[in-house]
Amino acid sequence: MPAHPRAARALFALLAPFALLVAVEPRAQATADAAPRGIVRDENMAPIAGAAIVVHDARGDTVATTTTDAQGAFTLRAIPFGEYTVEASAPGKADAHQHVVVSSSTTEAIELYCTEAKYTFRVVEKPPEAALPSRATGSVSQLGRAALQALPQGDDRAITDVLATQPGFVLDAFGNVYARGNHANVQYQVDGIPIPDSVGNLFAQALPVRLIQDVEILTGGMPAEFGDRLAAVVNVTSRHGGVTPEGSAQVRYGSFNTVEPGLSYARSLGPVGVFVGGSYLYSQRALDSPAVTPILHDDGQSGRAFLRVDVPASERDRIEVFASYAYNLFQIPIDPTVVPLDPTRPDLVRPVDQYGNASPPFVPHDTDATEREHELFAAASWVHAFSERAQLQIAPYYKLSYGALGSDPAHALGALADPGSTASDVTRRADHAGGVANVSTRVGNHTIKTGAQVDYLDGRTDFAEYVRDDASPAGGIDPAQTGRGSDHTRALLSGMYLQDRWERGRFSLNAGVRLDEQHVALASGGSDDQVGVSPRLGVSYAFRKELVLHAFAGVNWQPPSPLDAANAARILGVLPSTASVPYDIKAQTDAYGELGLDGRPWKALRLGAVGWGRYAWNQLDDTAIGETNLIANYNFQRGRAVGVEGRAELVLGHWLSAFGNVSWEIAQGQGIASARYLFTPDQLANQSWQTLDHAQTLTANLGATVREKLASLTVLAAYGSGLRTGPNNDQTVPQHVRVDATLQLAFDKVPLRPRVAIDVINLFDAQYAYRIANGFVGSSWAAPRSVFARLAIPLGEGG
Amino acid sequence: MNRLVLFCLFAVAGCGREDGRPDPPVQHLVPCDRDAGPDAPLACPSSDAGVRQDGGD
Repeated sequence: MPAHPRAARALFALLAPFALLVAVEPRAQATADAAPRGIVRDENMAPIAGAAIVVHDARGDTVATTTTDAQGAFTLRAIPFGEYTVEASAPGKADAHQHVVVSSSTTEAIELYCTEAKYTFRVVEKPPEAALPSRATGSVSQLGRAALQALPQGDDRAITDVLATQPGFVLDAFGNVYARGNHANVQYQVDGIPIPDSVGNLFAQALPVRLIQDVEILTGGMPAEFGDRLAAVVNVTSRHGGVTPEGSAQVRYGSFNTVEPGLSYARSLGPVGVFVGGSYLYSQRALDSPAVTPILHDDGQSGRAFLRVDVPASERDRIEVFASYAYNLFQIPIDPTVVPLDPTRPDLVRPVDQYGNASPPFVPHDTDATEREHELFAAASWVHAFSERAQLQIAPYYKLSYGALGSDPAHALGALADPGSTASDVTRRADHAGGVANVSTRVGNHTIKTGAQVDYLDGRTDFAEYVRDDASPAGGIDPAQTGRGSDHTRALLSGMYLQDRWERGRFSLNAGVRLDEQHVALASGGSDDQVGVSPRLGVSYAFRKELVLHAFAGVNWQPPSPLDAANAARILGVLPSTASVPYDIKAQTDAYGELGLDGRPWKALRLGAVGWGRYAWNQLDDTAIGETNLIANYNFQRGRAVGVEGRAELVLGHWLSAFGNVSWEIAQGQGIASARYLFTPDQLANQSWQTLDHAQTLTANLGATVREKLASLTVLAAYGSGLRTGPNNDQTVPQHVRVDATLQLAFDKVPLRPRVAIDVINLFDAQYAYRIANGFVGSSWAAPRSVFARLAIPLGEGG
Repeated sequence: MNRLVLFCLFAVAGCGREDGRPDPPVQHLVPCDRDAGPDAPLACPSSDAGVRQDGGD
């Protein structure tokens, strides 16, 4: 279903005045926050007017107060999604409280009962239970800070490793994750602000758990407010400073001489909340190695820093400033198993592997190729509450993303390098500036949201390609064949949406439409404009509060990444230097549907299942260019994918919590339709359906945490049936099972109240490959068993 | 408990090192296939770097 620009422009014209109307309508609710509603009753079910409502966050800080109206009802204003305790008190009545989970996709009903004091019984703490099924109309899961910290590596765990524990995600080399057979396209969103593309995948790696208060993960059935990158949406609420100071100073040490000191601290300075944090990492295994460990030249270091400041400008206005900076310096690993060719025996070549893949080239062992990356993201968010039912969020942002690959050509093209070898230095920089504006209004049982976003990209890629001087016995650079070039990419991505969430009794409906446009300024002086219209409809029905059915059907429009435009191929010699390179990459348009059932048969056990399917026009994929870290998009004519997921959550009192999930998926593409110059005639002639190399047929996760007072033990097992390999992508690498474990101990009676944790990653030392002969460095093997110790000192009362 | 912590710390110090692992086996060159096409993995020399489908991003 290709987009129709004329129809899209007409819809733009229809939507724009309405969006403006809602923007000035004083009943709105920002998409970053939710406004849960509730009611307070007495022992006779009669509503209590004037009851005081106080909301506490996980630290016990008060985040909102209000009072009930004449009908005993209340609405909480501007609550970021997360976990809270809502308390109600009324004169002459006993207080009541309820634990609530606030999410962006559903609103949990709050019912509090303040009974006569004479009816008050001894308060018995309710044991933890499995969460009730979500009434969301798509696939949503939510993890709070406690659940995140219980995972192996705790605060030092990368967000991609957290995602990999959830159904529908497949973990790949270098920490990449794919959701439901979709290539990349995971949208990260912090405090309601979508994060633009990086030149690599640095942002995902730059987002440590240390920064996160709550994370909401959507893998399907996205409401219309989400656009562009729709394999999954990772909606993060960052930590913030409150009345109760909290934080920790930590150091991690272990395998591969890994050292990682880290710090986080949050507190309020008067009315201003401040949260700061950062970490530094050094390791001798920084990237996934191209062969079984031990590997050569794999050191790396990285730094992270972040800051969040919350300013309550007035009773109705809140300003948040968020900034993060990340730095990486990686050595490019060298595979010690690859041998140089023998110049005296030109008839000898390197062997193929067991799948028929060609060997990667030999890299002289004194080559010092490195990748250096910087990423800076800064955003400000103004949330204005027009009333208890209405909010507005306006958030401008800026993002710098920089990556430089230095190939050390003098050594890489040395005496032992293959004749005709090439090496490339590539520097990429992308500057993004943009913003989002979101408003919503609640009218009766309807919550109407609308908003717009815009992102301007100015990207630049500089190349230098070096060719070995085969005439010299010592090799080296042949200056006559050195080529240089530069690409400049400018693009404007904009979108707007309108959606209505309607809740009536057991029935919920989420209907919406969004309109997106990508404008790319071409080097030739022209431009490429693509428009997508995405209508979406989701429904859920609660047979009872413990059993919810949901269904979704809609269109997802996903624009290509205009970075690393395909004329890189010309500069690198894939095409003759005189050849013109047309920009013919199309946006992907998916027809997507899913059907799911979520139930809690017992208070301790929650079970869920979902089936999903997708048919794509102009399905996007990407390809590596030469021996560089450049990625260029291309399209298949069509794509199709289908999957089934099951999940379970078990909570037995305070002492045991466990989860499990299993995902089965198939994802295929047919007929290469763009950037055809990157492919061989045989590849272009192939019109059969090909299984995509980022789809893993079967993936499963199992995790359990056992707690005993101040100690906890978490075990995490992950199974993967293997990603694709072979020259025709028709084989799979071996299946694997990886088990991680972490033991955490708290010493509250010891000075400084230290916390000690031992993480064992890959407990049974499974030696398995994510990839074989695919990707930049040929193969990527997971780390062998590695052991880390963490020592943390809490800072402040809440630490 | 203190013994447990000490044991764990020794485990980190003792087992956390990858030093001592045997080096993985290296390749051995094999005769090229003179009948193979220019893009075949065992083609006789004169091929270039080329492009690999489905990069690792």
